[in-house]
Amino acid sequence: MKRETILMTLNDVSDAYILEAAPKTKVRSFRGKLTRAVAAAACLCLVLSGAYGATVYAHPASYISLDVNPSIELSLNRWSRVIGVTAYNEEAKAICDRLDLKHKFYTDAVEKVLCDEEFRTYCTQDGKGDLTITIVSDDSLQLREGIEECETYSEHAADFHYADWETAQLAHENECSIGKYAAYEELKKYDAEVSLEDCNEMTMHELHEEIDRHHNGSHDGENELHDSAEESHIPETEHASSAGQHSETKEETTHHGHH
Amino acid sequence: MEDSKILDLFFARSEEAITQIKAKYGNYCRVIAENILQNHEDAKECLNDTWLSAWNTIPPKHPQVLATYVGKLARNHALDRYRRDTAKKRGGSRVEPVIEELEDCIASSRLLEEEVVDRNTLAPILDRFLGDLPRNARVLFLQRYWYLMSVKEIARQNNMGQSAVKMSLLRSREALKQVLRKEGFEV
Repeated sequence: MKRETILMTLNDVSDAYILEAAPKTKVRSFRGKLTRAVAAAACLCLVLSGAYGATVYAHPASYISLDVNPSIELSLNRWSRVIGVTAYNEEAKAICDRLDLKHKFYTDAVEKVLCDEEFRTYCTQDGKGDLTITIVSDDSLQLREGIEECETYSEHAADFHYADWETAQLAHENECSIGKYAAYEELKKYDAEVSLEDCNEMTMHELHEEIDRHHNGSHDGENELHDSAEESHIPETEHASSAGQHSETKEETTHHGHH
Repeated sequence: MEDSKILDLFFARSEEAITQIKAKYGNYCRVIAENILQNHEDAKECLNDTWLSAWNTIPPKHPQVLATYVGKLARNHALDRYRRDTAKKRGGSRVEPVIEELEDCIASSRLLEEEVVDRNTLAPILDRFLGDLPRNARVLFLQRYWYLMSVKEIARQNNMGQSAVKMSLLRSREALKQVLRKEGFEV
């Protein structure tokens, strides 16, 4: 008998036995292929939308700069969640290290900062703690309204300023908070020799005093200064129109104690 | 599509017959060919030969069970290719271990290469032997020696341990040995 005889002869056994032992095959039907293709496409969409969502989430859509002496800047995404916290000086660093602000809704984050004891101390030192809140956003007014509704906001005499994206970029390039950089630009209109380093060493109160001093000194007959102030990046509302208005608003808010 | 309709297409010499038979039994035949050849490309060529054989033989043949008919064609083509590849010493097949296992049923010292065993004589003996085996043992036997599945795959498909499969195959081979001896074959 040849070696393969049994193997070959098995071909001649009953069909029923052969069918009975048929292995389970993985049927690659069109429907199965379609299901797999749809599942793969869905996974791909999920991954891409996840990646897109993550990118969008981490993309800054607004900035809120809180400046007294400490300069704290919050980067917000399009959902107004805090995606970045930058402390621009040692005082700010001490506060930011203590507070967990990331991924908080911006009003909660601002509330936390305003509630912080150390931050409050800077804000209330002998009436020299000017709190400036500078907003860079396509929806500045809405952000402002949110901040004004914060519980502790009313305890602070804060000035709101608005800056544009170019100012924000320049501020970041110079490693400076947007609020302080905007004030520096304002001051520079009166004093061409002032440097950013000088401004960085000054509190917001001192900066505002300098701006007011220059403004008041040159108020009479210096309309061109007034005009140039109107072109500033900072001003749009109170502070925006002119340095004079800024000072006036400040006095008003300080006088009333609440904004 | 029902087998009878596929056969009608063959008899009408419609090429749609090949499309339909591929769709219905392509996977079944692919598994058989791949088990024997252990090579996807070779199995693919083997399947093409299978469909051609089916086209050339139906008609005049009119298979009662189309599945086993094309399955056997695929098996034969795969075994033929295996022999050619063995001659070229390509190896890598699952056939050799299976043949070695079946050799246990025949005393190797008494193998007479020149002896021509009539398959027509042996086939009914094997058929009866299989009929006498318990169903589970028969399935395992045919999965190993007809479909040339690996022990691991058989165990997986039957929810058994590999050693249980090996034991069942050993007992079946012993039983076959007894049957063949009883029928007067040299074992």
